[in-house]
Amino acid sequence: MKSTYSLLILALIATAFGCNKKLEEQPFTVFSVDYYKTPSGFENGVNALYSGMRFVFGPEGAVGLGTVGTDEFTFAEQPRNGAGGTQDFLVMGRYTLDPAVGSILTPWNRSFNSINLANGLLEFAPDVPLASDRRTTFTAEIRFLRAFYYLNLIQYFGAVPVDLGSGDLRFNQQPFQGFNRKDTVALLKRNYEVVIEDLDFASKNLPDRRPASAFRFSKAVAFHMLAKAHIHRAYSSARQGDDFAKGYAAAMEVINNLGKYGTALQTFYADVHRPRNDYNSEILWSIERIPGNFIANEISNPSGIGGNTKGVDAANDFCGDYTNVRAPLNTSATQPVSTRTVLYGRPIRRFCPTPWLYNVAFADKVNDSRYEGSFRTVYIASTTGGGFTAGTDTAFIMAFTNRIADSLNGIAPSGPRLKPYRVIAPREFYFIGGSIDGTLTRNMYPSISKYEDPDKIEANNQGTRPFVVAKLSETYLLAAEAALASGNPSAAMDLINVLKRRAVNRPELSEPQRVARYDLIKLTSTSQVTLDFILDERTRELAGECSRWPDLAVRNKLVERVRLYNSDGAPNVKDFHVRRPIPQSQLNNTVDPNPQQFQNTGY
Amino acid sequence: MVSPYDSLGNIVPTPWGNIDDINASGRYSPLYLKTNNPEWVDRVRRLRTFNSVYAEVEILTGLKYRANLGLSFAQQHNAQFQPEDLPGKPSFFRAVQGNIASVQNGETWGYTLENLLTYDKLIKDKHKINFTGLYSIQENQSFDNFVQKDSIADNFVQFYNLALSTPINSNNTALGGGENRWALISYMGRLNYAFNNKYLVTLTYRRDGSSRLAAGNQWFNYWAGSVGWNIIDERFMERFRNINNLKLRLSYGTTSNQAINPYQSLGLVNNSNGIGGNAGITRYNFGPTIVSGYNIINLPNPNLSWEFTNVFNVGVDYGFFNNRISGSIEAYWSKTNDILYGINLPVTSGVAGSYLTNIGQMENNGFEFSLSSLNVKSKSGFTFSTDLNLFVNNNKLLRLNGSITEQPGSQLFVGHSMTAIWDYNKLGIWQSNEATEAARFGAQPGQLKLLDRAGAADGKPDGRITIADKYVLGDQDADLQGGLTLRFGYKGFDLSSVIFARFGGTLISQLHQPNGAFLTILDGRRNSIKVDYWTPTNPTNWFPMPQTQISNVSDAWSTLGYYDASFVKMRSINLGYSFGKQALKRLGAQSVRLYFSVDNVAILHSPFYRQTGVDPEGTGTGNQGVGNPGNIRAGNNGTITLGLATPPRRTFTMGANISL
Repeated sequence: MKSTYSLLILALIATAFGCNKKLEEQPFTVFSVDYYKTPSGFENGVNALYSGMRFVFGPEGAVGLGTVGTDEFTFAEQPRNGAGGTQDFLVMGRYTLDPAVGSILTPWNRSFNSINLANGLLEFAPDVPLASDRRTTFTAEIRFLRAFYYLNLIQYFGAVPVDLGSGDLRFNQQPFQGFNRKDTVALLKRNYEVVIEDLDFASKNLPDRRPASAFRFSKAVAFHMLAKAHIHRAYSSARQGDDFAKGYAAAMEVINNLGKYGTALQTFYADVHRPRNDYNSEILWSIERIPGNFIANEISNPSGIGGNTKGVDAANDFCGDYTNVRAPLNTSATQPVSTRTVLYGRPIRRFCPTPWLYNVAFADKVNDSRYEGSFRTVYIASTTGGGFTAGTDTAFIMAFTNRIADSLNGIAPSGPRLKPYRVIAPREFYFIGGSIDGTLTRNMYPSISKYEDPDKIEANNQGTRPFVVAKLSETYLLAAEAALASGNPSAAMDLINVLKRRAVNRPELSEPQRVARYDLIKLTSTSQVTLDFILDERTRELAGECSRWPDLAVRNKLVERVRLYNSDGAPNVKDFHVRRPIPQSQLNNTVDPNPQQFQNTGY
Repeated sequence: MVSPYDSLGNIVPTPWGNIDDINASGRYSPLYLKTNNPEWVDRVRRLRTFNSVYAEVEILTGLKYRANLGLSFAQQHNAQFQPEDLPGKPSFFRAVQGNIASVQNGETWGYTLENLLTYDKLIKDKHKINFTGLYSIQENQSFDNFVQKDSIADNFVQFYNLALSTPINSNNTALGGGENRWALISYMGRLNYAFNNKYLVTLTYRRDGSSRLAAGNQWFNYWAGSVGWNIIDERFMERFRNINNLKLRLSYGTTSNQAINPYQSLGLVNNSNGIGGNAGITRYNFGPTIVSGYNIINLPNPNLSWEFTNVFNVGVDYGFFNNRISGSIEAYWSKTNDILYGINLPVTSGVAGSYLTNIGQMENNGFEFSLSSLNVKSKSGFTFSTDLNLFVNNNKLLRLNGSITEQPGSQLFVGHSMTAIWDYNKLGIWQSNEATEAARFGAQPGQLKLLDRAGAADGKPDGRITIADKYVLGDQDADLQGGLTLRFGYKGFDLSSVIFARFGGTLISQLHQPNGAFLTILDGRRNSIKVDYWTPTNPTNWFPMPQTQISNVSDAWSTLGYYDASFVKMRSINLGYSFGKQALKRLGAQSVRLYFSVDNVAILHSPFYRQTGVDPEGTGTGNQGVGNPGNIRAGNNGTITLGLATPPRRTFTMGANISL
């Protein structure tokens, strides 16, 4: 009986204390937005903005959006027709895409959360207890990031919301189900204003140069991006009269003060994208990754492709199927590279070059070193057998011209061979009247080598290197373009010739030999400098860097050049294709009597 | 198919048919788990206790106070060790990698404390009054911690000391953890009144407070009342001698729901990147310096409130012929208000993803019927009885806040069921003789033929397949469901069988959605599911021609996953024998029953099974595919779908029940 009473008393006591306090949630693992008002929270918010860029640069969706269906690239043998894919690259390459295609989602779905967080951090910044110079630098970084998220979106989709639900550039904490994208002309004007104001602020308030072996923002990249934003706007309906002039001034600020901004062209083009040289002086800004570290790079399934990842799928997307190539003859039983290698990557065959890229843009593969600096031409055996020793013997090479192949082969096409490895002539590539294996088209072709990553663990892994977004050579191209448009073609010619001069450099050449080659490829007359020429030169400098589609689209050159140079896209490409469709999921989630009104014209 | 062993009987390390898989060094034959991995450890230990104590005092005659205290405590410990891959000793889990160990420890505690005051009183032998007052509090907290480390110094260490490892900047060092806590406080008063046991009235009033809801909306007051009439006890029923039970019941009242995960009203800022696994933490690096990033994951919802349902229920219980036939009939009409639901915000809101809120009103109207009968009871001891039950439920979304009629992105369509399927209508496959018509839609023979339903300004077909052609095709709800149990008995033998049936509704088979499962791509690079696909000489209307583009509309592949969900299944057969008294005496036992049973015996009828050979019952909820068709509801009340998860098994059980 006594114990009964004590239990009763206990129960009553517990009851007395078990009042409404129990209903207050005091979680140990949940932060609220107030966390951003602390110094560490604020900095971790900035980190999140940087980190969000990994979704937008590297994974397959973003790569495809910027690459396929251009004059440079079309879809290859595996255009994402597997589970989880909706033939994305096929329909993008053929311009039959509709708003439900998965690959248009990457920048759309991965940007507005960062833009909103940037708005929030900018609102909180004045109250965060930080030293004022650090506050200024952080503010400039946040504004750069916000501008860059916007610049990236508008080049694909046109006008995008600035009011996310709580007002113009305001931090939104409302469950807003509308979609502030009605007057797209006025909105695009506002978009460019935001971008340029943010980048202007960044170019005044960031440190001059980035750390030697890290990519934080600097004035150098801010001026570069400011030039780009002005030039993009200059081609749009939002253009201002002085856009080209301002773009030129911003780019020249960097070019005229290379020492101050701590940047310089590499002597050899091939070094710009060489593995383990990721922090070289030519790169103004890359989205960072740590080679070989999947956890730090936020890759949960290193052998997966695309989907929910922040890895660099670009490292595999451009790879042709080198494993299938027979050597030393096309009739041999041996496939000496049949084992995939870490360096050559997973031959996932998403994108292959158009004939124009190979034959026209890179017509000169000898004097100009940029073809070899951009594409893999030599494959070493990875399987021993058939006379090949893995890791030692050359298995096959992709010859520059049919003639070179014929001479190396003795006579064309099956005469007494001079070489113990296979020499593949361009006519054997899928796109030039033949293919390496008649049963497989678009299967093996010159593959972009810029993302090759020896620090991956397995061949099938996603790439783990920083992803280049801005490099000094592009600053020269932007300056040249702005100079041309401002009526100064001779300045444009000089700027392009700087790149031409660098392009001839190869380590094995003496200075006089380099100069002799330069004389063969340099521009000699201002009449050679046209927008189309600059676009060609951009290809030579930037091929495969996942920005060709927007580069053409914002310059209103996409449709014209696809019709000329991309036979997959030419039959169906139409004027409205210079904008990507607003993703269907966005419209499905928008509460409006007529969500279709927000769709881009034509879709 | 590929043989798992080579000609010498050795395990083939990578016995896959697909070139991608052959080249992927990321995995080996799972047979190595049996032969080659003696050091592989995967340990799970659970400790769970539940204790309840009570105390009761009678304060006055009929007035009792009772305290119930339930205490629960559970611990779970998971530990894993996977050895490294060595030449000649392939490691299934760690192909081309070193060893790895992880430990996860979790703990949950909770209690329920109930204070009950009851008062019973019988007045004049006719008025029976019972009052119950309750004050209860429930609280529960759980948390767990996770550590993982690779490069363990030697395999014998396993996971016992993760510090015995190489301190490299490794891919596999990972930390994790989580916590949640909830509490529920309830006050309740209930009054039962019975007159002569013939007229029964119950009134209940409740006030509940839940920690899971937003401050200010945590408390909810509601009531319920019911009346019962034991008609059988009326004098006028004495004439009907074959009726021995007849009772009418009516009730109206409110029920409530707050069963959502804790902390959802608070919003969430954390360093999760949504990628999952060890890579699930938002990180970045500046050169070699790794940092962490914090994102806004969820918006706070300061208005998150109770969901409540008003139900009107009518029921009749009956029994005839000495209760040889008995059962009940029920009908109900219910309206659920302030439905708790995770809606998808457009990403342009800046905080995308599911936002849990109270969205509107739905109804559930239904009917239930049950009938038990003892059909045969012979003198020889043979008995045969049946239990039959049938039920029907109609669900309909009545209203969404803000007078919206549909939110396709959140699977909400006013006037339709919450399981509505919104998609293109697949008419079949474009046939060879329809090439011209197909071309008008940009399609070719062999591709999916979809209904052009709308799209033009006047709502008429526009000659294109666009989003405007999607509509609610149907829903996953059954029109009628029911079960039948047959029981036979003879002397010590008992035999029973359970049959379950559902009719109507649509099932979603993600196995048959080409972008949801590799099985259904039909690209010839993998083993494929058996479907009747179109070729010029096989003009089927089921599956399109195997090709890169099964449709010129990129999201039409989901239409291949809809099938009639009707089925009749024999769930089980049980055969038993109970020993008689004499045998029991010899065995010295109170009772002994030997039995044999089969579960999931047979699919007696199923159009889906007939067509595909796949069990028609769902294997999970929400999207289970590789590619998400986007019209499958996820979350707490996710749509049931058929995916690649383990299908239902047929089990055979033999056993004995013995009490001594």
